Amino acid sequence: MDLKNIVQKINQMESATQLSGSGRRDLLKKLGSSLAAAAIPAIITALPETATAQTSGSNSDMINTMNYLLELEYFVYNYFRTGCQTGGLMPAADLPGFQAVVNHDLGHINTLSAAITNLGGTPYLPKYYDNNPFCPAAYDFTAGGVYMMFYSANYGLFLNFAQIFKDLVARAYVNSAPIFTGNAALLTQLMQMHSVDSRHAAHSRLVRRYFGQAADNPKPWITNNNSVASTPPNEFEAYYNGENNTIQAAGTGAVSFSLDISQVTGIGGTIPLSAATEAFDEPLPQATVQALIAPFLVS
Amino acid sequence: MYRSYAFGCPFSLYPQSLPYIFLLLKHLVLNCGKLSAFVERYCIKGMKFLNNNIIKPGAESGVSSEAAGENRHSRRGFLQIAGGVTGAGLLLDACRKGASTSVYMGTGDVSLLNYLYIINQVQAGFYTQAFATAYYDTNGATRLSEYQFLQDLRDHQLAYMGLFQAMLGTSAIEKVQLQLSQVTFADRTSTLSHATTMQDWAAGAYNGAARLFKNTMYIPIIAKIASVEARHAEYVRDALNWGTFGDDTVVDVNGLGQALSPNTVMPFFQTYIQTTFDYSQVPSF
Repeated sequence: MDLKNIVQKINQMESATQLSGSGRRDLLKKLGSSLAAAAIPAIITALPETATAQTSGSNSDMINTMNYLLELEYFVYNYFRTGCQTGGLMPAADLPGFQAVVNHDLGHINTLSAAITNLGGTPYLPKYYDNNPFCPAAYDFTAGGVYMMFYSANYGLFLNFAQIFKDLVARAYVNSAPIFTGNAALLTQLMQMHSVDSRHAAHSRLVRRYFGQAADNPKPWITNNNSVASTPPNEFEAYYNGENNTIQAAGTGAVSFSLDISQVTGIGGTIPLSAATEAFDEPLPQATVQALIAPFLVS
Repeated sequence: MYRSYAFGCPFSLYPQSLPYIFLLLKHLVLNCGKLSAFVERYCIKGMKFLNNNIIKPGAESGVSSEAAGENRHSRRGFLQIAGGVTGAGLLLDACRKGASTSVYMGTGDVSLLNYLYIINQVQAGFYTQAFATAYYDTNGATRLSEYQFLQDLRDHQLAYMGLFQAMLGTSAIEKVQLQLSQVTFADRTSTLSHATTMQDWAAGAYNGAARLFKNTMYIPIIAKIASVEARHAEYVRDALNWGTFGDDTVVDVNGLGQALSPNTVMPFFQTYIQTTFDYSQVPSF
């Protein structure tokens, strides 16, 4: 399948929103499997990178969104748990931190599953699920043999994806929050899970910085739209598309505002452009996020 | 000069000073944070009676009694009325001198934005001071990071301040006067301990504030900032004690971070501020 066609299809799906959540997910998985052997993110420059205005969602919208977040939580849970269980991968000093990540993510799986059931929905389960949230058979984190972090004990590579995946989850939560504005309890739970995934993202970035092999020398926050390497072309750029936004805006018409954060007064002038981008985690639309994890799912 | 005059004179002008006494009483009660419905009602009744029957406090400065009546229940209205009355400013001044002085934050979404604006002002001031006081040396990659990250933390908080100012426009509270004497900025542990507590409270404050907004247009921005405040919390925690970015004091067994109510959060940040804020009208849960 031609990559450009795939991109077009995903974009069409996003704009038309013709497919149900699960139908779209299935299609994306199929797309993903055909992509896996190729370099992943050739796709992505053409994918939507900014959120369209979200409005408070119906029950089924909330169920669909929570199922999508649940899919992401299973994804990162399995990634980090595989990492913790791979002997010789991580230094002993880093293990407790990543084990905490695993525990929190399991909590998110349970919380989201219960919330979906409470709303009358059916919680997502990974492929090959067998009464155990740890189901590595559902995932191919090598993306078809390209990224061998678990097989060659490549900690630097593991940290690349730890950062990428957790940043992606944080951006997915940012995008999802508006759907829950009609339900105070769920909105609050979403914020609570979101903030913990953001802590994980920041921690992964800091571990990666101190491990010392990251050319981009990441900070705990996302600078501009910098990806995990500093030299383009970069196959992971797509995960950070839109993160260089500096315009923060809301509302429409008379009740609206817009501010270029890079023009805000700092110490001795305006604040640096980098800080203006770092201070906000930008939303990434669901279809884009799903396309970005699709190469790592077993079809 | 007003201050020495204020308590001496108006009370001796009975009955002309009666409305001011009611206003003063109401003001004191509202701002002591010990709102007594009974006393407030009594004051309002007293004002109503005076408005309708004896003295029209707005009359001499052109404030109509209808306007005064409409605004009875809001402190802003109160300030408008009081400000318009010759001599009433004296009482306010006298009042500011007392321990019960407090600054009104507005109601509803405005008060929530002011609330987050206060939190970010405290943190901006804190990180400005932390960055300016080099407790760290710049030898070694970790310490160099710390230097850079403190600057980032400062600049991020300034970014939030600028944003909230823009969103609030004329409804923004005055910039707060900080009191950071409880922090020993020359001491790394002291600085990072305070940073940790502040960031945990700030992250919890954003999580808790989301549900309280009436206008949902604010939610995307709240979510964007909440996400990065959580990153800040991770950093200062890990800098102080590696691996404690999400320990069980801030993340529960279900992996949920804290979601805190404004009336819980304000007293904490209040300890870093000279000004006292009246958060009684800020939505809480």
